Amino acid sequence: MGSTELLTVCGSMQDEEAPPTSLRTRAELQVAAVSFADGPNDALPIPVPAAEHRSIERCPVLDVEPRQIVPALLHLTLGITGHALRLGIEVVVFESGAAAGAEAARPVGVALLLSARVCPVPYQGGGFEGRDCHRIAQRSAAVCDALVGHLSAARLMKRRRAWAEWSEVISVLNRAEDVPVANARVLQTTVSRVASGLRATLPWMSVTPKLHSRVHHAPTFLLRFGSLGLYAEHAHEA
Amino acid sequence: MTQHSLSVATWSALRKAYGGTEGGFAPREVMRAATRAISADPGRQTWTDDRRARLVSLRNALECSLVELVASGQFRERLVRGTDALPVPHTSAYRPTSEAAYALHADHVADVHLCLGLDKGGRGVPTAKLVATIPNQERPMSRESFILLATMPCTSDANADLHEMVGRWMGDLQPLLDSGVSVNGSLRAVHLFQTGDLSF
Repeated sequence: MGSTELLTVCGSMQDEEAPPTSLRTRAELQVAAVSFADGPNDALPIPVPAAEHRSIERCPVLDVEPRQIVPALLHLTLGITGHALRLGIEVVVFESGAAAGAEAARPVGVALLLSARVCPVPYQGGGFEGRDCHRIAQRSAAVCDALVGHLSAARLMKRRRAWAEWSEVISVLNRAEDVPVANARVLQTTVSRVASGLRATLPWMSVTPKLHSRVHHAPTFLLRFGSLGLYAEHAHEA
Repeated sequence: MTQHSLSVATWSALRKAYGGTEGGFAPREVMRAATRAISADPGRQTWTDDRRARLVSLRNALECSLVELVASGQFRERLVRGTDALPVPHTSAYRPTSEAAYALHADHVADVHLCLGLDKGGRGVPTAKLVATIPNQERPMSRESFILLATMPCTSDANADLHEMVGRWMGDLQPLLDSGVSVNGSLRAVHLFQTGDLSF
């Protein structure tokens, strides 16, 4: 099956404005999970098509309804905060070149250190701790202020708006209590708008699995089960 | 001690700091007897070797926690929202069937939510811990609320090693999903959620 046909069947994660038309089912997962039970695809006389194995190379220990898999909030928080910081510098590079990007990175680093009072840790992939990500979101104005003079006013305004919206989202996502339906709907609209806005202003950006999970999976779970924080991995990390 | 998940060592340190029996703490003999009684509880039976530790029975641990939640009045219903975003009330009791495992029960069937996750961490010799949480309570994420099911070395998180680490739990989990758990005298379905760093 060619990639075009695969896109027709499965859709593209890069197309953020077109949400998945249906949720994956347990039956689909079971079929995909045993695709490579007899060996790797290359060793099979008739290769398993991608629409069947869904890129699952190893059989999971347990298969459950995919809709019951909780988005890993801590990892969403870590991944998207790092991504957002990196995008700020990438925009500078896009506008003014690599040298300007390196120059802009310094004041952003200083702002993180002095205003947000955070610094990278030797774990979490060299990024920031979860609580530091919350602090960065709260002090995002300082991060954006550090880009004044390095970025055009229009793009800087968009960065400020994106950070402000992420700050709202991060607090709702991580709240270990029931979230009213109205708030969940606002979150759903916000994350969708942020994602489409990012793609519009940063056309080179690829949609990562974490971004996709934040835009589609997390709001769906939140609306159905009333909370993400009550089901998240905070207890494991305690 | 059980309510606040205090180890015996922490309890002893606190007892000493507050002056022992003169500070209002129970005598050591009473504490030892109480500790023995707690250890004999089926939900707290553990199995250990030189590298790993785990609770003997997932079902007993879960039911023990549920009994404590009900007895202390902290058990909370968790209703799933329907397509109209309104909570779907539990109107039916759970009846085990011989259908395929993990078939999702209907939203109106009484259930208990159970999150199960594996987390890797630690420097030096990394370890993984298997943790269960019950969202049917006010603060499921607090340290005294979750159930530490097992700890084990995790030098490699390859698929085969994951099977080795958590595979034995799957035998425990299957009957739990098939036959439900008893809560306050009535049978409820188990609504399983996977969470954590390591997908299994």
